[in-house]
Amino acid sequence: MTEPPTMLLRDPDDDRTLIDPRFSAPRSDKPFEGSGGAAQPADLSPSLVRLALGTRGPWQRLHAMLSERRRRTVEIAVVLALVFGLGSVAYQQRRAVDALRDAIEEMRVGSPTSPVHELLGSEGRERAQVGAVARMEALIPEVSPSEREQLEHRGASLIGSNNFAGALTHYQTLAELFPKEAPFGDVVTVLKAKLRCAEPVSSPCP
Amino acid sequence: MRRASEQPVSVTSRVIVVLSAVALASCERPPDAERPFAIAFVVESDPGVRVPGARVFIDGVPAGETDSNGRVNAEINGQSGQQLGISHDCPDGHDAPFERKALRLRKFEGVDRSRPPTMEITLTCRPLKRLAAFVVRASDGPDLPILLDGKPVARTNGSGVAHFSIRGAPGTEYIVELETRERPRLRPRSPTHLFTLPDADEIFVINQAFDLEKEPRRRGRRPTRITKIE
Repeated sequence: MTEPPTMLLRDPDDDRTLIDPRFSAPRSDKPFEGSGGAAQPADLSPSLVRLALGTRGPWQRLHAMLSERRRRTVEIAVVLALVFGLGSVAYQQRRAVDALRDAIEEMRVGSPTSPVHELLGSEGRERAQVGAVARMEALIPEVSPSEREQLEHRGASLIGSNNFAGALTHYQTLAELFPKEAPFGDVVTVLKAKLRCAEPVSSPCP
Repeated sequence: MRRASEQPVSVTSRVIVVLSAVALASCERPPDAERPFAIAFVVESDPGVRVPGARVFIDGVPAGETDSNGRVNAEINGQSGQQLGISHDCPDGHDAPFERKALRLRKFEGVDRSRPPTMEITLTCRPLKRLAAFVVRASDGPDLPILLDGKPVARTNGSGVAHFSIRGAPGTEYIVELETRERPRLRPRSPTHLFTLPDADEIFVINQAFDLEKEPRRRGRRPTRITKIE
């Protein structure tokens, strides 16, 4: 009775295995010894084993390491992490939108003003200023020529030193004290335009 | 063995399908054929200076006239992406630019859901005349007449300060003279300053220092000598 010849079934993975001829050289010296004398893995050098394992993909290695149950657990954990992550992002976005909406609402209700706006004044503020000037006028029935001279000199000095904000309030007072003097009112108009241009939120002036 | 290894892949693919479906569901529907668009037109002469009484046209059709706040609110029915031509007429004393503005309608969501979002378009009406305010600071130059292009407009006060203003077309040149004829000992004599009005309201500050020339010393008359010529 003759034994049927040994048949080698090549694993498809083996086709992709690249073996450095340096490591496989000793094996080629040994002739094939049939089923009994086949080379055992233990015969392979440790570096060759490492190399052979390294050729597999990381996922395949992970597959090989984990049991089916563990694999499923890991996958469920990944899916749950994704869902929770997305949910958390959506929640944070919603909170940010709500906060922004609240801030806009507060701005609309409170309408805080910039320092320049405060200076330029809304209608109410202007009315208050006019009222204050009227009270001042009542207190000072007539401005003496020397006082007017001082006021004008002070105003010109403020403009000369480019202190437009300070000059504006000063010339507003002058315009109220001397309503017949058109130049004071004109200076107020130009100063307002200049301060408006200096405001960072406004568009650039010509 | 193979089936066991394929099982997790199918779970992953299901997850991907579900996530894709969620992503697709979050996308917006295609825009409707026609929708109302709220547009506010603001007409300004300078940044922040509103112009009332300007008329706004959309594709030649009047949209309205600006109120005291320089604003016209309009609602247009159109498609998103549609382009409209915007033009406007300015009130007296203002000049409108010749080129028409093109407006493309865009659908967008406002942060405040209680109000419909409004597009704001700013249009310009340039003033034909600009305001020039002059502030004269003449040190040691009290009570001096100020001439603007040769005509008296003001007089410096006791501390040498004077204010006057004028309106003119942008680019106008003004010659300001501080006349010293009444005080001939002031130096320099009748200094002049040249100013050009820009395309904006402007304040011109004239800083002029004067020196008072000392009076020439009067020498006493020398006594006449009588020289005897022999």
